[in-house]
Amino acid sequence: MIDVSDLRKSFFGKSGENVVLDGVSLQVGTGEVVAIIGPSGSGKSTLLRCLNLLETPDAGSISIDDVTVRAPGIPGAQVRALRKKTAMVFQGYNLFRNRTALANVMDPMTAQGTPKAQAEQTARELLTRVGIAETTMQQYPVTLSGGQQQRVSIARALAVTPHAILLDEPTSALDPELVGEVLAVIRDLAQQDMTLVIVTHEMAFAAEVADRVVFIDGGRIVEQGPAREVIRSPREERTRRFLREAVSEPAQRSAADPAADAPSEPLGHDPLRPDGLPG
Amino acid sequence: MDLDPLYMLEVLPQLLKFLPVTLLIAVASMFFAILIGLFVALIRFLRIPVLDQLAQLYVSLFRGIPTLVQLFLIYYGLPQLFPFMTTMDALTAAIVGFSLKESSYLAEIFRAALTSVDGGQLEAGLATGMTAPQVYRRYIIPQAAYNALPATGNIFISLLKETSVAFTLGLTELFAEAKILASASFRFFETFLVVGLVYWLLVIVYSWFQGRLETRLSRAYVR
Repeated sequence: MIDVSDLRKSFFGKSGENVVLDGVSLQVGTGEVVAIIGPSGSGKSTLLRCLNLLETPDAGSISIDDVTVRAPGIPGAQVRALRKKTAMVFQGYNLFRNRTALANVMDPMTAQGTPKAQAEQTARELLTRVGIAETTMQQYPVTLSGGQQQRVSIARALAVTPHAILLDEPTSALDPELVGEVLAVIRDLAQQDMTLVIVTHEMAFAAEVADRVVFIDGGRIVEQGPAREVIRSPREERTRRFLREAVSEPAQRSAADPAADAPSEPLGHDPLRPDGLPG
Repeated sequence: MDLDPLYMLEVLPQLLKFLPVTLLIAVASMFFAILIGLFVALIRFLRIPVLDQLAQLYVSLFRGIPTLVQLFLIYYGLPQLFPFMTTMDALTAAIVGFSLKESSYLAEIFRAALTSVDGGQLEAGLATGMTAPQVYRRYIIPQAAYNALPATGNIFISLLKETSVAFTLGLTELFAEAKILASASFRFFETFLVVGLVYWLLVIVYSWFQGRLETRLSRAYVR
């Protein structure tokens, strides 16, 4: 169970205070799969990164399983205790470059005192589970494809038997043809009742895999509910607008010839389209 | 032309007796310089208040004063202030002097190497519940070491040759022995040519080992 209450976070830059999280409260049940969606800069990644305190919230409280922290002024011991409750899958994989795929999965275990032989056995099982071949396990991350690297990083996240896995846009850095293999692994995790919090741009995937979708904009949760409901028939106008733009994105990219595209473009009437095409 | 190749062959084994002294100064100084340099680089990289400013002063000082002046300050100067230091021998003074000087160069090399390690490595380690020191020891310092290897090798090569300055402290190493032999035989060119070639050979042998090390480590960094 994850329980986030009134989380606040601002960044201070040249232009003054930038409120990224403006009082976010969120509960995620054990075994639940929650997808967080929202425009760039909406605070969704910051929310995820606050859950393992890679970002330090200015105020609010976070409970994961039996660990509760309250910002500000979280003691270092509590930071580590909370971090041990989750594992993170990063957009850029962030595998340890100087370690082989196998060692990447073993390390979180040996760092916590698991004997090497046992860590290696568990690591091999986890890597097999995410579809990494025996020969690939001995390779360094730089020699692996993006899809392989992300699958190793999911195995690494599983290595610490976390209460929940936080996935920060896990497929956004992948070549299109490699997205499927990573989504398949995440789908498996969801089916095995792993608690997952996924920040994603893959709306179809969110609708399919997530139990609940949370739409964030301007540092607040605008709407949340069962995945299909929120994505197919959102209640809030902001959600509707975001989903229209998110779905029409590929169409816009190929709209080199707007005239040819317009008739088949169902969203041509949207006055808020960033390309400023007339309706 | 007055050149005696036979003399060169004779003088070589005589010179090589002092190779261990040169190697001792170079290797010991490099060892301490790496330790101090890493320490200073971490202070600067982590921007630890007060210590960072002291580290900057340290680097500036020991990079700014000529090596020979540093050696003289340590060997001839310090005992004047601290009488117990009169017992310090020339070998110790040379190792201390070279360690301090090279550590100031290495600190800057290591700092740059630490900066070039992707920040995602630290996040990935912390996110799996490791402590920051664990992440530094296991991933960040080893990756920085790979980045720093070529420049560090250059420092060692230059140190290897710079040990010849230690003769000014009355220390008999390779070059001091060459001077002694040359002034006894008046075979200046032959003696200095041989000692020069010995240094050159040392550098070649070292470079070969470093090349092998780089190739081995690059497996993790080059496709």
